[in-house]
Amino acid sequence: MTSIEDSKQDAGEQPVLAEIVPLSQAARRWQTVESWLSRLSDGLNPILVKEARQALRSRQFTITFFLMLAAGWTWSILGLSMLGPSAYYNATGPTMFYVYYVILAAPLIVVIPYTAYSSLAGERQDRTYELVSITGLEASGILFGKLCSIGMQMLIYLSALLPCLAFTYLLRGLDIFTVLLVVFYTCLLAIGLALCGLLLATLSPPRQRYVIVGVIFAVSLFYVFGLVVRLLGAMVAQGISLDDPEFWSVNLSLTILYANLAAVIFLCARAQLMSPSQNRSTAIRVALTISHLSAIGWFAWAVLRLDDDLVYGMLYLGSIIWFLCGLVMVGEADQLSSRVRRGLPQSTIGRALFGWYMPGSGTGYTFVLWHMLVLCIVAPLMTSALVGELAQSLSTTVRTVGNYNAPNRVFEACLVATSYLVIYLGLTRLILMAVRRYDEVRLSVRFLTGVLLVMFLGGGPWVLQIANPQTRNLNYTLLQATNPIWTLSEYCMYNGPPAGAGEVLVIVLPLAGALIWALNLPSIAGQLNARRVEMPERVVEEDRALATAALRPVGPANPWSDEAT
Amino acid sequence: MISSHPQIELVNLSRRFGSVRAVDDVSFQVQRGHVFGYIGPNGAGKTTSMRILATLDMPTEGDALVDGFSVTQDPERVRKRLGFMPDYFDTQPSILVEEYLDFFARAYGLMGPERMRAVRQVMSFTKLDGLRAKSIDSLSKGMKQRLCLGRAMIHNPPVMIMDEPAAGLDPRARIQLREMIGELAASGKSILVSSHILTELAEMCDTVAIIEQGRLLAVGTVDEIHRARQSHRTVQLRVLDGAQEVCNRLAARADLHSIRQNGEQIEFVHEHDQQFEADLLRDLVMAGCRVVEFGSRAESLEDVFMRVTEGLVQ
Repeated sequence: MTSIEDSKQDAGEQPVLAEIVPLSQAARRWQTVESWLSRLSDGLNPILVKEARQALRSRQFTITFFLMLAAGWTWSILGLSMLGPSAYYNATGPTMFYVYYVILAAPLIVVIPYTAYSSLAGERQDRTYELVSITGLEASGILFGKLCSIGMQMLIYLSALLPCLAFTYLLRGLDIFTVLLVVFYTCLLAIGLALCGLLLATLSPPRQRYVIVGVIFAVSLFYVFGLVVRLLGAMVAQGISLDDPEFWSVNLSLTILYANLAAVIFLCARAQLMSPSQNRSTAIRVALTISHLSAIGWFAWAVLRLDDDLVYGMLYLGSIIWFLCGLVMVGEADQLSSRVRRGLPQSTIGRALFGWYMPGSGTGYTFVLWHMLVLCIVAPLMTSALVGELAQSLSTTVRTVGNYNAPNRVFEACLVATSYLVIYLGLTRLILMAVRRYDEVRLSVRFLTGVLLVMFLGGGPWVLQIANPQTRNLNYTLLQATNPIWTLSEYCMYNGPPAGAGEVLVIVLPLAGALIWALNLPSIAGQLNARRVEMPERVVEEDRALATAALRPVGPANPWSDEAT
Repeated sequence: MISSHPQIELVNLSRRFGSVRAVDDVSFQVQRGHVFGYIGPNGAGKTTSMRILATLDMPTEGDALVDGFSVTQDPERVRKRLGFMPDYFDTQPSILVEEYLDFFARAYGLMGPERMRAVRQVMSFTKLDGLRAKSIDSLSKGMKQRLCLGRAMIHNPPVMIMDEPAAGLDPRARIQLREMIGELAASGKSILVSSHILTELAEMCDTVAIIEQGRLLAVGTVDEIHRARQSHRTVQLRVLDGAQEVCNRLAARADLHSIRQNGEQIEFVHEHDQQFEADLLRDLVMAGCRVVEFGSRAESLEDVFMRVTEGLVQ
């Protein structure tokens, strides 16, 4: 039997090979390189190191890589033989590129995101993930490691087809910038889809629905693949005009929106993997605020340059997104863990400004409301003559402002949309608070409650209208005031309130919203009044010990000094 | 820094799954360097308590502390101090033994030479040196169990939790595992171990806790539990002749029971200590009984377990 001390001695005093056999100069050089590489790998994410080792040995990776390589080579020979002598004088680059792209996009858009999903979901299902989760790795580190591993596989796939893509540039008809841009966006899309896969893997409960969710995800990936391939076909046929001033703005806005969305998805996946006592909400809420503000900024840019009707689209889209986000937030537990309470803002100003970013259903409900109120202020301003003229004086690319009478109607639409959110989220919150007394409120329960409420309160009157022979018609009536989808659609379609209902809607809905808000207010106030708790003594004790250890002298400052620093 | 806190502490820990109380108000402590045996029938709540301690599950009520840190509020600090060996194997595909340990060493934040030394130490301790380049899929059950132990101790944690570590192992592997656990305890680690092989637990544990239907029925050293439960001692004696007469004499005493005779052999049970046995032997000899053999044994942990538990499952 080897004792611990023996094993320590064995391991510690194990003679290095170089001490036994004198190494050649080349071998010593390799040893140095190896030690440098080992030191370099210390900085890498452990998940990346492990998954790189596993992926490079896996059958799936080998088969995909060689299939892609074989397909690339086959098309090179087949394509050129089909094009024949025309390759010398015609612009055949786009044709060759299109097929190469399809070969590259299949692993990037389908295989890699699905691998991300199956890797994490599989680990969670067979409980391998549990053993990783109790190491020193944090949830974000695990997810980042998975993403790095995906990036590495992506690079290897790209390296196989990059010579082929470069070859299409030589065939004319395609500039190198277009090739790079298409590959760049495909990589971004692959990472985005992989993030979605990781989020799905964290949401699907272990041992259940793993296969079903996997099949649905795989089908969705094939669908996206088909869309992207068709889109690229159209792009290659039409060509990309780099001189178009809108080109760069659209690219920048898409990239920023992508980054925001990717950050929110990443943080949601991270929250799912974090311990329930940790603060899982604040980071997501901060990311949502940034996304909200940047989306408003880009919409303002579009409204000022293109059409002020876009503001209704922004309102409609914003309402749906905030309703869905709100459903997640109003289902959060009201009781904060001691861990979260250690980080609560202490001052009144701090609580007023940042209290909404703390976990809890009440703070989440109000958080959504604040963001909709920002929209209520900014949206009418976007369509106001004053802002239009100011923008025109600053930039010549701003369109000539047309309809200056819009702001009041936009404000009414904003008020109605905000009221709907306050009513439906408030009611959902009250129902979920009652449910939480008996059981944990899962994510599916939150969505189901909210959606059923909208279907019942919104769809019920519609059924009544259709069922009653006296009121049967397909036009909007005041009976549909509880139907947010129809009412907001009317605002979007006609750039204003539904005929004959506008005056009533702007009075009734805000009043109903205020009532629901008042019902929620006591519990919201209670959450906002939560006080910070002190760190446990043991935690303080350890932090102090660690701080002291960090200050402790580590050794002589220089080879000539005996004094420790 | 050595802290004065118990290494493991369960404080009124409860865990409910719907209406089922998997763990019901369980409290106990494990001190530094102690091996604590956690025994109970299947479904008693051992694994649930251990998963809570390993920060893999949350208690419904109460708390569990590792070196003074709450598993619910400071799971990251707990994880640094804890090595967990679950009752299942890791199924990572296409990974070698050395790479597997290297991964966990990296995941626990070990760097450079420190990491390599830790991997070498663990492989040497668990005798996996010869299998370093073998895929973990192809390992035997005993080897996988060693690898699990190696993974759990790679960051040299002061507390180790082992859920059924000897399950399914052959006798030789079980003995080796027991020796490893003893060695770990001797090096100052606190170990919480559950097992169905009670004879082995009795040999290696300083303290045991018996749990059934989520409730803790007894905690203490095996002797303490014996004493607390008015433990029985079985006496066997052999007389040269007059066995029936001796039997009648013993049956007349109220403090002896379960008296059985088989030829010259007589067996009976009492609830007193060894002083009582010495007095009894003296009385028999003084009364002219020709006793040639007299021996007694205390109840084993298995006997205590069978008596304390009722075989109820949830």
